[in-house]
Amino acid sequence: MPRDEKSESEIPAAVTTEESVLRLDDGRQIVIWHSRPQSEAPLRGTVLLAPGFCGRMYSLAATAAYLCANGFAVYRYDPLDHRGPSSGELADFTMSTGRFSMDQVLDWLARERGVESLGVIATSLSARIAYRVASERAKIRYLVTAVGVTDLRATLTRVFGVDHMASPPAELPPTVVFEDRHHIRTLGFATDAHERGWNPAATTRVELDRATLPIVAFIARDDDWVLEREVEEALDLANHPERRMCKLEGSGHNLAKNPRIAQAMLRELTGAVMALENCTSGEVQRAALPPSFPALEREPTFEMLTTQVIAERRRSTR
Amino acid sequence: MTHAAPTSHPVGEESGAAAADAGVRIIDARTAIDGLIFAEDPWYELPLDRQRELGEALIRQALREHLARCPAYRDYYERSGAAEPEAVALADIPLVSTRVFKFADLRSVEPEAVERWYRSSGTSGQPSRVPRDRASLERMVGSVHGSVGLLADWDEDEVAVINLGPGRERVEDVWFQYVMSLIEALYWSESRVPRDEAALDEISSLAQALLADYEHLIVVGPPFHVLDLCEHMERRGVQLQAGERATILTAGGWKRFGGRAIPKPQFRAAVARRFGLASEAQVRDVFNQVELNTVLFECEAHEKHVPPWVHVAARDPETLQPVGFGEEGMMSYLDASCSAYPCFIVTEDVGIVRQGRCACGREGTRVEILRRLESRAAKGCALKMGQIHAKG
Ligand SMILES: [Zn+2]
Repeated sequence: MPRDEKSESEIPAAVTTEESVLRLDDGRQIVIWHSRPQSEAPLRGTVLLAPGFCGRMYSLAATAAYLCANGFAVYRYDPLDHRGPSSGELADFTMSTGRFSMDQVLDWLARERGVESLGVIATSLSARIAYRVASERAKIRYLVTAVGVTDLRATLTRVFGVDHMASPPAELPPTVVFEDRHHIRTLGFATDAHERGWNPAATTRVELDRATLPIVAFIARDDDWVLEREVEEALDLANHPERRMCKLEGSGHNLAKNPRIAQAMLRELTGAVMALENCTSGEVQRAALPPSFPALEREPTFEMLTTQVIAERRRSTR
Repeated sequence: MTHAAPTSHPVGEESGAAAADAGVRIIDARTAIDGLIFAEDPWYELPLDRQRELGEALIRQALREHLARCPAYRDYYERSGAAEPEAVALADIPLVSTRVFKFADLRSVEPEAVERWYRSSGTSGQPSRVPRDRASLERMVGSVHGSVGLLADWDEDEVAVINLGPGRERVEDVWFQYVMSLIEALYWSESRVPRDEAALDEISSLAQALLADYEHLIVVGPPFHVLDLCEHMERRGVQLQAGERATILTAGGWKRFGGRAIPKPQFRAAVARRFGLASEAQVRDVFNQVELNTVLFECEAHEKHVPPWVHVAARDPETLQPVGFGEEGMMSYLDASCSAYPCFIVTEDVGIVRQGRCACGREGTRVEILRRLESRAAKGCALKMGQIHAKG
């Protein structure tokens, strides 16, 4: 497609983003974006953003912009078998592919970028994966989830209106349709979910019982897919002062739908990451989180955010 | 390290994050206006009574906020003798003539909350200047997003856009171009100004390439640019066969340079023919002006539907009293989506307001913009009625 190259460089981006490609031994590729603050001030920390199922990397542009504006380096990636530029088709996605992708990116960050420990922010389905990864990898310092799935089977039942996990493999429809458009093959997904223990509601709780890192979970009070009580059950707040739930009034599962709510959420999330970075910087693990999070130092403007979304959309292949 | 509260976005500041049970925080950033603009279900599916009820409450809320935050408007309101904000009829809310924006800086937010001052695109005379803050801009985009459903239900990945105007980097502060360029944030887009034959050739090729690559092509631009493109394609013997896979969206003045008005039905027929469209309903117009925050979209019956957060009235140029539905008058708008300045305006457009069930089947309020007000006397009257001596 023809591009007006010289005009692109004139975009005053809020952050600097560069793309890297992680090449696996089997030839597959995972595309990673690295966004940095434009200021020369020392970094406050590094976070990895994991997109929700079907989410594009540029759908996390605002989150990256808020974090960069407040001194964080931000990595994003597109999992294998996902909707974006990494190898594979969305139709073949499984939870374990998601887990493998996250592990590969974390390994790459340590190996190639010297990022030994960092925070992870995971949205929706990738939060379920992040809960498991965080319970098994010591170098994740803190975890923030947004409308994060804790009970996979219950959520999928609400999304598709049917509990496909209850079907014997021979009776599964070959594909299900997600959000009216995306065909997902069922057999691989269901088999993986059964065999690797993604299905039972109690597994998230069991995994999190082993985890010691601080967790902040954002939930939307009108979310039809992820219920408040499921997240409460998994987090067990009463026994974990290092965990916090932030409940967003008036929002459904799509946190970006209403920009007033999205803005409030991004302010709170950025404050949460600042607080988490502080409270995990020493030996302090399992310390109680402060009652409220710090205010932002800088907030990106509408102009900065739209400029970044447009630049990232242009960068994305279809 | 200072933890200065962000001061630039007062709307967000009202929303508190309150500590509830141990380990739980409640974040309530709900506002009625955003709840409607960004609702899951589109506003045009609401019954007319409900639209009126929601609209009235939102406009009163906006009135209270602008009276509290914009001293110039409050002063003007008090001098006008209008009833208290709780009691005033919507038709009697004092209106600001769009001419006022040529010389006064009206503002209901702190200067640092203004993202930009946007100006009208007129080539002659003093342009209007209008401030917008983040919330107003987001709601403007929301008014577009919420009305795109009047066109079709597209997946963002399926659509490519050709914007017949300058791209994002070159629009500066001209509101019309700025709004058009924001489509890049919604869909994969190319922006091209059809300034000469070479550019028209390139656009024509681009349209053919994108039709081959994408499920749907949207061409947006001022009517005269669209017509230039169609005439150019005709001269070059380019005949597209888009069928149902293209939408042509016009916005802006219906006059060509030199003042020749373009009759809309002929325009739609010519465009539909050149693009090989399945139906002339795929040629739609949208309306906006720099002083209005909401973008009004045409339905398939070519009626411009007005969302409930905008109260629209056609008014008698002498008395400024609303005329009946279906009658011609000077167009006025009370737009509750704007937090940056009191968007209670009377314009110099003559138009008609209709209410009830549209030919498309949806209930609601529609407007038809007919022409600019010509009479010098009427303009003088509008100016007098809309006078506001704003100091900023
Ligand atoms: Zn209609």
